[in-house]
This record gives sequence, C-alpha cells and structure tokens, in this order.
Amino acid sequence: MKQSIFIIAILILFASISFAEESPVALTLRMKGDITLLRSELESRLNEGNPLINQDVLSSLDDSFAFIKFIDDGATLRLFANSILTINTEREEEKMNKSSFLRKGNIFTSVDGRKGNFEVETPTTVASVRGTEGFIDVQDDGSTLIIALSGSFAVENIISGNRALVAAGNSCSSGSDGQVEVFPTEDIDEEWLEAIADMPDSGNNILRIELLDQENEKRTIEIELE
Amino acid sequence: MKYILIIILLSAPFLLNAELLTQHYPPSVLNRTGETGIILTLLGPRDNLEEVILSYREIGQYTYREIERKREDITSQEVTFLLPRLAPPAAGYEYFFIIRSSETQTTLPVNQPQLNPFRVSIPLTDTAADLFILLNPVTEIESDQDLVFAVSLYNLEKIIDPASVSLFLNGKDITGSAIYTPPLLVYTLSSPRAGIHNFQVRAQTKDGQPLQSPVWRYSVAAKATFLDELPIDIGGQAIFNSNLRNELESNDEEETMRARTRNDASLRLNLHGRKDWFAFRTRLYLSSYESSSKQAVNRFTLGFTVPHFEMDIFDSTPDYGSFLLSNNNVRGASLKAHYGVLTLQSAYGETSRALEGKTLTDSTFTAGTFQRHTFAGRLEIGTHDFLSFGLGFAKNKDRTASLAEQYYRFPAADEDESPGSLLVTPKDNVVLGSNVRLALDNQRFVLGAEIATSLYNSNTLDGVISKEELEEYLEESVPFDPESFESIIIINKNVEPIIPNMASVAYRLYVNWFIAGNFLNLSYSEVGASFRSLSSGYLQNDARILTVSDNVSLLNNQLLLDAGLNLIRDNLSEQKNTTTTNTNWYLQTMVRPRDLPYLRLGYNQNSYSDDLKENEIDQQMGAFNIGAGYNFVQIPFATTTLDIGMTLADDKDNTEMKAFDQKRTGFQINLYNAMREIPLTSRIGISSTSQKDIGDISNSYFSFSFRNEYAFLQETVRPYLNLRFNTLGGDQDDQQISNYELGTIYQPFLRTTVNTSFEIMSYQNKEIDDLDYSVFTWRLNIAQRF
Repeated sequence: MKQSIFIIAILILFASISFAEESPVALTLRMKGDITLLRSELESRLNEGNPLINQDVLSSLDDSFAFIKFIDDGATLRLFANSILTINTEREEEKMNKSSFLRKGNIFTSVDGRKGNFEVETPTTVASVRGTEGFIDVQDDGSTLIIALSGSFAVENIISGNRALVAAGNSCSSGSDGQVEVFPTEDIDEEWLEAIADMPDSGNNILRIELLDQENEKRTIEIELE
Repeated sequence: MKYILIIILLSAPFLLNAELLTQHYPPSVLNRTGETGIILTLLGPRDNLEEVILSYREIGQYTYREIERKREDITSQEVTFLLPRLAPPAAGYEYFFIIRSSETQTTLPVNQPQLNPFRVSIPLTDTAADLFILLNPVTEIESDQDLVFAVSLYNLEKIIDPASVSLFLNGKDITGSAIYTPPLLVYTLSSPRAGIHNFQVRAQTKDGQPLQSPVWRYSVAAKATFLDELPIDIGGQAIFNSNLRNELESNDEEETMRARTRNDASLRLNLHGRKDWFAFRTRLYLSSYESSSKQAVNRFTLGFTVPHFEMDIFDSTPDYGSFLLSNNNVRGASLKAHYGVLTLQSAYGETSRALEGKTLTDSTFTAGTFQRHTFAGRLEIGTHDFLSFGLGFAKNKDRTASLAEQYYRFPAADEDESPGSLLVTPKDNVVLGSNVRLALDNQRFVLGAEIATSLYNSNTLDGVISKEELEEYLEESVPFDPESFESIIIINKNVEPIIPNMASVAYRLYVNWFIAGNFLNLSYSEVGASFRSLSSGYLQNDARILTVSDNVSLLNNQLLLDAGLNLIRDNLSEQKNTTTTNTNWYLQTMVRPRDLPYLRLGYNQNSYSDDLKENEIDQQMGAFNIGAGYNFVQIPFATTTLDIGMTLADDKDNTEMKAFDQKRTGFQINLYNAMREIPLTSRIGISSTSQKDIGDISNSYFSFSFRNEYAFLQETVRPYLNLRFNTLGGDQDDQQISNYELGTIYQPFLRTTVNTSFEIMSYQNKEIDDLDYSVFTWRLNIAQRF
C-alpha cells in the first residue's frame, strides 16, 4: 500500500513538473522586422508584448531589432539584426541572475547590478556585466568584441582561460584563438547607435558614450533615446 | 388695465435686474472613485440664457474641453456638470464657466478665467508603488504604435494571491482581456485611441490585504491633421445642430390627425489662431431662424489682434459699461487701441435692422422697425490691475429713410387732410458716461463707480426745432441754437430733457471683496426717469436697485453659507401715483463633510408691493428647501450618488383681489449610478408636487425620468436611453406627457463627436381627446474641435 502511494506521489510530482507552465522572465517591449522565437522546438514569430521564458531562442533577420526587459527590472537588452540569442535566468533568493547565450550577432545591454548578476556567454567568451552599458558583438567564428560604455565588463575567454577587465571607454576582443586584447574604443558602428536611439529606455533618456579620438583625447557622444 | 400694470410691475424687476448672477464653490477634492459634480448656481432671470459651458482641463494640460448645458437642460437655478473620473498621477482639474445669453457672454471667474481658473485636486492615498514594476515606462505613444502595458509582480510573487490580480483601464476592469502569466501581467492595446489611458493593477495579499499600484498614465498622440502642419497655431470648433420634428395633432373638424413638420438647424464655427505677434479670430453662427422679417439671428465676426491694436468687424458685442454700450450686438466695426496706460475704444454699426411691417389691407399696415445705428467711443486711462478711469459716449439714431412711410404712419383719410397718426417713431439718443475702477490685492478687492447722463428724442420726424420756436415753447430764452447741434442730436419738442437735470442721470456704485473664504458683492444703482440709453440692453429707468450678496466658505469648503438681498424700488422721480417695491432675499447653507452625507437648507422670499393705503399690489412668495445626499463609495461594484430634497412653498396675493394663495409641497429623489466593472451609467429622477390654491383647488404633478448610457469600443460609442413621464392630476384635467428618446454619442476621433437621437413625445389629455398630440424628433449634433 505504502509503495503504491509513493508511486502515485512520484507520478503526480512528475506530471506537475512536466505540465507546469514556465514562468516568464522577460518581456518583448518593442520590436521591428522579423524575429523568430524558438520555444520547445516550436517556432513562431516574435511580437511586441510577448513574454519570454528560459531557453527561448531569438533569431533576428535583416533590419530587425527587439527591446527586451527582464521582469525584475534589473536589465534591458537590445537585440540587433542577424543575431541569435538564448534567454536564460536563474532565481537566487530575491535576485534574478541572467545568463543569456549570444550565438552570433550583436546586443546592447543595460544592467542594474543590484538586482542580480548579468552574464552573456558567447561561443568563445563569458562577459560578466555589473552596472554596465555596452555592446557585445559575436562573429560567425565565435570571436567576440565587447565595447564598454559605462561601468566595466569582466571578460573570460573560455578556450584559453585568459581574463581581462574592460573599463568604460575601452573595448575588448576575445578570439577563437584564445587571445584577449583590451584597447581604447575608437569607433562604434553608426547603425548600432541609430538602433539604440530608436529604442525605449527606462528613466534616463540620454545615453552618454565616451570615445577616444585620433589624438587619444576623450570625447563624449550623447544620444537622446526616444 | 390693472392686470397690465401688475404684469409690467412684475416684470420690472427682471428687466431692471437683468444681470444674471452666478455662484460657484469648488469641491474640496475630486472623487477618486467616480465623476465629480460641479455645481454652478444661477441667480436672477434666466430668460435670455442660451447655454452654460464648463470648460475644463487636467492640471498640466494645455487644451480645455467643454461640457455644455443648453437652456432647455437648465430647469433649476443649479446647473450640475460631471467632471470625468480622474486618478493619480494626474493632479486634478482646472475649470471655468462660460455663461452665454442671447446678447452677452460672461465667464466665471470673471477676469482671465483661462489663466486663473478654479482648481480641484485629487486626494492622495498610499499605494504600494515600489512593489509593482512597470516594464514599459515610455508613456508617450505615437498614433501608429500599439500600446503595450506590462507590469511585473516579481517583487510581490510570494505574498500575492494570483487569483486576485486585476487590471483596470480608465477605471474599468479589463483583466479578462489581459494576459497574466505570473508574475507578468501584459495588456496590448492595438491601434489605441488618441488620448489619455490610465492603468492600475489591484490585487490582494494571501491574507486578504488589498494592494493597488499607482495609476500609470499613457498618452497616445492624435493623428496629425492638416491644421497641425500649418505654421500657425490654430484652434476652434464647429458645431452643427439640427432638429427635425413631425407633429401629429387632432383635427377637430375632420376627426383625423393632422401632421406638420417643424425643423430647425444651426451651425456654429469658431476659429482662432496665433502666429507670433498676430492673432485672429472668426465666429460664424448660421441659424434656420434667420429671416428678413426679424432681427438678425446669424452672426459673423472676423477679428484680429496685433500689438497695441484689436479690431472686430461685422458682429461684436463691445462692453463700455452698464449705461453706455452693453448687451447689444453691433454689426459694423469695433476697435481698441492701447498703449501703456491709455486705451481708446470705438464702435460703429447697426444695432437694429430695418424691418417692414405686415400688409393688412391695401392701405393699412402694421408697424415696422427703423434701422438703428450706434456710434460709441471710450477713452480709458489706467489699468484693470490697479486704477482706471474711463470717459465715453454713445450715439444711437434711427434712420427715418430706412422704413417706408406706410410702416410707421397711418395714411391720411384724404389728400387734403393732415397725415395720419404714427405707428412707430424714429428715435435719437446721446449718452455721456464715465467710470472709475480700483482693484487691489490681485483683484480680490474691486471698488467701482459709473455715472452717465442722456438726451433722448422720442420722435425725430419733425426734424430740428429752431431757436425761436424752442424759446417760444419753453417760454424762456435758451443759450444755444438747436440747429447747430443737429449732427449730434435732433432737438425738438420730443427731447427729454431739454434742460439737463438729475432725472436724466444714472449711476452705479459697486464693491466686490474676496477675503478669507468670504466673497462679498455690493451694488447700488439709480436710473433717473428721463435717462435713456438705446445701446444698453435691459436697462429700466426710474428705479433704484440695491444688491447685496455674501458667500462664505468655511472649514476647507465643507461649510458654505450664502445670503443675498435684492431690492428694487421704482418711481424715483415721484411723478407716479404709486411706488412699487420688489424685495428678494435668500439664505442658504450647505454642509458637506468629506466622505460623509451632505445637507443643504435654503429659504427664498420674494415680495412685491405698492405704497397705496389699499394695496393694488401686495404679493409674497416664499420657498423653503431642504435636501441631503451621499456618495456611496462602500458599494463595491458601482459608484452611487443619492440626493433627496423637499420644497415647501407659499405664494400669496394679499390684496383684496386675492388672485392666488398657493401652497406647494414637493419631493425630489435623484439617483446616479456608475458601474465599475462595466461602462454603464444610469440616472433616475423622481419628483412629486402637490399644490393647493384658493377655492380649494388642488393639483398634483408627478415626474419620473430615467437615463441609461453604455459605453463600448474604448468609449467611442455611447448609446443612451432617456425616458421621462410627467402626469398632471387633481382638479385640472388629467394629463400625461411621455418622452422616449433613444440615441447614441459617437466619438470616432478625439476631437469629433456625433450625437444623434430619436425622440417621441406624446401628450394625452384624458378629459379632452382633441387636445392630444405627439411629436417625433430626430436630433443630430456634430461637434468638431480643431
């Protein structure tokens, strides 16, 4: 008798786990163009207002972008064209740690570090973000470029184990050959800046980007976010 | 004759005291759970009142919206407007009133109401603001975007009861249309309607404690119109109104029903614009009542303002004070130039157009109307912010040539006889006036005085009299030649007064004082028996008027006291045999403690009497009102306001004639209900009056009204049903008047409203069937704001 009850309890638990609806962890607030959402092997078109759950894979086509916000208000993420991103989070007490995987393409992150860690993993690199705004760009071969606009990124090449700290105004390349190189940011793709300007943000609508000019002097670009 | 005298005397105070007084106390706070009633009290005659408009806007917004109450909707001295429900983060409303009569337009507050409106704010309460996470903080939505509202309950997940989460849009529960996948609540509004959309999340904790988010306000931009693209700021409105009526009434002779149609329509177009230092305004009013056989109803105005200069052409209603020029439409031009403390005004035009009389037979006609021209000017020194002094004149003259003789004079019996008697006479009038006004403490204390004197010729047909004839007529020498003044006024035996005296003087003194919640108005005027101003409407001569009113607001507007006295006495010159006095006084109070029932009490007494030993006029009318009401916020699914009232009135004729001795008792119940979960509002009104008169005559009146309005499609379509039943009984014929109206308000765009309805009104006299009739009316009102 006890054995039967135990088996039934196990079955109910298994069933409840299997059929439980995954809680949303993020939301698509704005988007443009065609972005595919792959969830549990089912493919659909991403729309504004779509909640995102763990292991959702977003694939953006040409001239597309999406603005994604995590539900703890701890981070926003802008996904640019021709990118593949897997959303993943993990709850740790009151905090939500975010660890998304960028297979290829380009994202812009804006993170409030007090509300959990934010990591972006690429085929070659893990970038830990704390209170930081910046771009992460992944080439087809997995080589990764990180551009820190404010705060700092802790970068680790997972092939070589090489590490670097990327401060604001600097960029970091992390190659498929295991090399990690930090250098002053000289230029940012204008399309990326335009895409940021066209996306919503919370509160602060002015994005300030510090760059080094040809004379190695700092200059600041201010982008008014719509 | 006696009755005519009574009628004249009864109407005298109204003519004399033609100014409609307005009172308003702003509510202390807005009702967070429903609409807020705004009450304007109208004291005095409402005969010429056309409409009252409440112009309101949210604090911080630029554009005012309007709620109109037409004359037919104003059935008592209190006009009630309902401000829409508003919730934080909006701060409250600003508003003012426009009171429009057939001749004038005034505002409350009187001075610069758009810049100094009444204000009423939203009471603050605590919200669990930090616990709700708004994911889409971009609250300005373009006209072509979807509105995605998303709230994360991440911080509340452990304490909240998921089944209790509900989402409200503009106060209505839309949880069923939202997607709630804990902890995320998302609502997408495709092609949202332009305007403000307020969202709020409400929930309960697992132990039953209510929680509510702040109210988040999203603003959806209206689609740009071609006016928005113009390089000039343009605003205005166009209103088309039509009533098509088909009346069916009994035909005694043929014992059938006779049908006839009676239609009317009007179009009002106001347009104003500004570009830097140049501003313009146009007003157009076209009515189907316009007829060449009546005075003009249509109005056209084109005006502009540049620095130091304003001009209006075609129709305008300039105000040069009570005695010079007021309450009159001038069709011509009106100018105003000002520089520093100097202001010069001038107006010239037609104040009455020529109308032919009717032809009765080949040789007899009814009286026509002469064309009247008015020319007025005024110089003012000073400013309305402190001290100003004005001096002006008005010249009014009827053009004899504007009317064929047959319409003002009976024909002579034969050619040899002198001309027949006059049906109507052309007049000539000059008024000179001055005023002084002192304003202190930001218009809180205003002290002023006006004085004027006039010359009036009641018949200019005989032309100007020579000096010799005048001296012979007066039997004394005069120091002027009347012919030299012909261009100013035609002096002959019909001029009043030929020698100026105090009987041709009018003056007025007034004080308005607003201090510590106390608004005191005091006015005293005397108009001499010989004073005439053809350019000032509603001015009765040979009378003195004392008006005192005081409004007191205490305990943060929770206790209101209002008292007033209006005393009118004629026969200033003591040339008449009797002097009549009309005294009207009132006292009313309202107690409205916040969140508790309100109570109102009032008493009004009106008396007319003459000074004869055996009175020919001695009437006294008194009415006592008591009422109470309450806004039932405790009802969870509906905002409900109940108002009950009772009136006891006693009207008596104390003369020997004892024309009437009426005692009336009336009861009123009004119920307003707005459902919270569905956009349904309803009003129910019940009133009953019983009346007893001399001769044991007793009559009764009963009225029941019901209005239901439902809103859907984002409140763009609001069909409504109006029912009203009145029954009359007692010693009079049993009668019943029933109204059935079915209509809808359609707002396809933010600035466009279409209101159309069908109404059937039927009158039944149960004693005399032949008096029965019914009216079918189709109403159409289209309003477009720019």
